[in-house]
Amino acid sequence: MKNKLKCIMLVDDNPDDNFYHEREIQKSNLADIVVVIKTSGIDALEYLKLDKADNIHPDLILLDINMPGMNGWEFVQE
Amino acid sequence: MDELARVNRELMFQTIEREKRAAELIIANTELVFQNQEKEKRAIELSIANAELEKAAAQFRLVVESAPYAMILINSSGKIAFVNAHTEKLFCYCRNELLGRKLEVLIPERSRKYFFTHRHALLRKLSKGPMSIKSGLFALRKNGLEVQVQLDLIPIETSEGHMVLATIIDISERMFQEDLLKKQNRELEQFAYIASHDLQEPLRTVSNYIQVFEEEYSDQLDDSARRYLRSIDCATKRMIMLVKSLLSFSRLGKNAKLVNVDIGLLINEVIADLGTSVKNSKAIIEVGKMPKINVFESEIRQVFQNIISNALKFRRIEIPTVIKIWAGKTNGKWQFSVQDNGIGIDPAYFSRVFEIFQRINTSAEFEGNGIGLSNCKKIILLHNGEIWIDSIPGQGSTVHFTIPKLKI
Repeated sequence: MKNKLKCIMLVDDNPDDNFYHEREIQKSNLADIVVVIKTSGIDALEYLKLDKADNIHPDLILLDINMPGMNGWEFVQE
Repeated sequence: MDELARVNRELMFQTIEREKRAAELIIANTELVFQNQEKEKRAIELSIANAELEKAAAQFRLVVESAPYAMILINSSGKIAFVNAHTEKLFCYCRNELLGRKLEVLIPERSRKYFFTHRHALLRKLSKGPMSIKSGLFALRKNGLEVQVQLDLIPIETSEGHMVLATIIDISERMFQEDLLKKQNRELEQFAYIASHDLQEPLRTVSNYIQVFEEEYSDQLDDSARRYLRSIDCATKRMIMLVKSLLSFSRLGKNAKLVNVDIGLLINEVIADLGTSVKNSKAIIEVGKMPKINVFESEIRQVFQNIISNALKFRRIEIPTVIKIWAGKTNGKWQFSVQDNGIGIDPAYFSRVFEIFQRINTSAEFEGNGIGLSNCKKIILLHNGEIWIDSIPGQGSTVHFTIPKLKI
């Protein structure tokens, strides 16, 4: 499990929370994990849709529900 | 001579007879006069009684006439036999326009069919006694507008046969106010819910960053700076807890469904859940015979949980804790009582303990956030019951609450 989890995506409009969560992940013994931070559902979708070579596909997405514009539920639906 | 004497005797006899009859006549006459006097007396009495009756009838008419609701007398053929003044006011008709007409004229088109098809059932029900329709009923005014009413029907016997007295009260204003109140209450609840829900997020950020700050800069801070930070952290954590309890308070009863619950079983589960604190306090809990009733299950569980854990929390260390729980039925309601032999509570605080975030004891002595009994009160009110507390300070308290019969 530990070996498989390579990338976590954080989707939250609050940069303070993103910073805190990234720090908590990095603090843990999963330090080599790549954390991708997006501050809106639209940005996150764009990242996931673009299949660029340097885009690592996230194994886990931590998603905020209450966001301006596209909220968490709408993001999941998309 | 003989002949003369005989005629004379005859004459005397006749005279005597006549006198006798005259006397009889006089007696009869006196009798007649007396009888006449009696009759006159009775006639006077009768006319007095009549006048009194008339007065009573007039008073009765006045009462009916000035009643603040519409009263209509309906005869056996369904026609209007009498209306009072308020009927004219409520329905905007003149009295003469209503008398002799079918009652249907006052019933909206869409309800007429119902009344017509259920007429016999209605009459059958009425023959057993008065009946009342408290809501969902509309009456039709002359101008075609409808008004929400409460209808009371009373069967009465009159000199003209079976009749029904209908009393009609305009409840549209009351219904409007009730709806408004319900709407405002819903809005207030929604407000508490949204406020407590949205306050959680920034509070969590504050708490998180206190932790980050402490981790990264602790070694650069002196003792007082670290103490200040701890105070900020404590206050923030307490606020998070308060906001959480406010949120759960505002959520109480949301989507709750009534179910039939064995209260005895539920209490045993609550006691089992409180396992360690029961064990630590070495409390003896006696539970009497409990009923099976319809309640909001998880909410009622919270009530027992709160009251029993309060009994454990506010115990007197110097004596063994004994908690007694019993139930009894009075006036069709179940009353539950939970008694402890703890520190008790001053009667001055009896009502205050049920107010949200009110705490009687200082934090250092007893932990808590002052929401337990407010939750209990809200839950019992959801069940249309009552909750109150009895106590002798220094000897113990008893919390009582009632739950009426509730239909699922």
